Amino acid sequence: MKAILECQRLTKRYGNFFALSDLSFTLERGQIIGLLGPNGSGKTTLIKLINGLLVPSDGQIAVNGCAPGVESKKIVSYLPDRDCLPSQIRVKDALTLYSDFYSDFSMERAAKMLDALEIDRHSRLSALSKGTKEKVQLILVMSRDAQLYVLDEPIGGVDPAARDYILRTILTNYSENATILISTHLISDIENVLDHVLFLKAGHLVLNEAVDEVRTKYGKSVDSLFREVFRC
Amino acid sequence: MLGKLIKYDLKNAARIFLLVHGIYLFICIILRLLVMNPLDFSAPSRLLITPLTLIVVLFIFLLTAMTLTTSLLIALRFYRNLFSKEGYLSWTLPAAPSTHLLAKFLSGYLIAAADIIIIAAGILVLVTGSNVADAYRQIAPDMEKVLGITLGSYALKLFLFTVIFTFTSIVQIYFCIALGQLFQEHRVLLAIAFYFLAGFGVQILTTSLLLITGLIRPQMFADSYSFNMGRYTDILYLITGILSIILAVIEYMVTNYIMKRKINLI
Amino acid sequence: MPWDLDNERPIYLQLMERIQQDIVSGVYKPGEKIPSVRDLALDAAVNPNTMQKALSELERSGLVYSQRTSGRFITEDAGMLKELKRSLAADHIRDFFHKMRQLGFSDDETLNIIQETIKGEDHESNT
Repeated sequence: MKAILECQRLTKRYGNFFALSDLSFTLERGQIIGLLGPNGSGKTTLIKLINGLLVPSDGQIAVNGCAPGVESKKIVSYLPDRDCLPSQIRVKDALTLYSDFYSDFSMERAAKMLDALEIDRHSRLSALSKGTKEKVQLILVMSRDAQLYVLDEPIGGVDPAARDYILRTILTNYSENATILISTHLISDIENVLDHVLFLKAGHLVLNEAVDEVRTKYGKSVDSLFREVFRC
Repeated sequence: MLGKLIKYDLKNAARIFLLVHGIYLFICIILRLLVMNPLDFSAPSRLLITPLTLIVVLFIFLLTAMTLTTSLLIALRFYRNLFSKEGYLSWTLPAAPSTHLLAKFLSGYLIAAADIIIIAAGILVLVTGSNVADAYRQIAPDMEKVLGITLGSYALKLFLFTVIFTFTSIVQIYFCIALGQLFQEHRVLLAIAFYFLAGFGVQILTTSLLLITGLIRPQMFADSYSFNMGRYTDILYLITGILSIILAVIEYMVTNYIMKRKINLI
Repeated sequence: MPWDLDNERPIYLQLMERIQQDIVSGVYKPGEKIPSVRDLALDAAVNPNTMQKALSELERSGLVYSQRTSGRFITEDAGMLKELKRSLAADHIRDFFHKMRQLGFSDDETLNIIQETIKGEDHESNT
């Protein structure tokens, strides 16, 4: 089986500014990976490259062995860091949209989560609070049976109670062979859930290590290591 | 996939489209009932001038507003759906860039076609009264002399030209928006600038081609007796039609290339 | 009961310790089936892979065994459970003496204190 995600010397340049330089790594299947780094370190750039929203300036990126395209989009479920659904549609229309376009979308699973979070299916997205909108998007994304989930800041805008629910949602919904890539700066909240971490610093990959390995090697949590690596 | 994309596109555009065109038809019906029907064309022309001027001015205003809204609607759908934050969803749907473009083109064409049909329906509402028909019958021979053909076949030619013009203008809108996406900043502003430049460029190109090939000559207009309006428009339509189709095909292919290889969402 | 995990040591080690603790204290009886990896992981709010690793390690030590289709069970080997209990006790005692030394007590002094404490408790419970 091919690696779910492989980057080789991946570079994204804007003029003279390198948003990502020379990234090489491979993600294994069945893992939850934290993509960690301060603001502007290139997390979102990498995620956009995975989803074909940007084209690389140099190097290669392959999802399940192919460059981002129709085939990769069928197996990647992506949660952007901004709301991307047309704001005038209703929650139920958003569900229909997802089930229309993605054959791996489970209406049943989405309905269960909406009920658990008491989100009204008839309200328009524009009428929802920022946190609720984020929850709706996450529900849509996690209701797919994807092979790779790419979640850009999934817990940034919600309260701690909802954060717990969201983490449980992520843990319950992913199948053993699926891979989850989560970008966040709230490390301590998700540290126990991660198998592996990638640290990005100014567009460079500075750490690519299993979480238990980090703890054994450095005798500290990922969170403390992060604070040390990125000390201002 | 293509069908689904078109369906969602039309669904999203429907609200504004139906609203604007509903208002248009409503105004047309009101004009017919309150202004057109009471008109007596056998009355002295000084009595006719005021209501007719009013109706023509109002109608031209309406037409401009409608065409503008429709073009804007088509442009905005393309931009918002693919290049604003909605693009984060659109581009991650399992659809090829060429499918996206074709879907946008077809949905845009459907919207434009519906626009033209509704505009025509509005005109019919205005001019189908028996008083207007009688009045036209009296001036028909003069009109045909000026146009060189019957009003009916003139309308048909106009319709064909509109079909082609719609095709080229939609492609041109998409092409300019896609060109704007090649830049890091001021993407919308650049798209608008490209649109005006493209329009200007096409004008110059067409005119100079017509002059160079000698298909139109300045002297044609000097001799008003031998000048045949029908023949002139035929040539003009044919040349500009062919030229703009060629141009539109090139623009379509370039847009397709940009969408396939140069997507860089901000 | 919440799974209080500290941040400095590998998570799977802490999960192993916690499950050993639960076995010794009788939360899981010998021969009893333990919950699935997924349920345990959700309960602990950790990654199922990490839980899987902890259980595999426990399996390797023989404390739990898996039956191909029906899941994982606690060993019925009484000798092994007794041994586990002893070794956990030894760990605690070592930790305790280590801390007492840091407070400046010699091992003999510590033993004395232990005896006094036990007597005091006896006295208290007698009255």
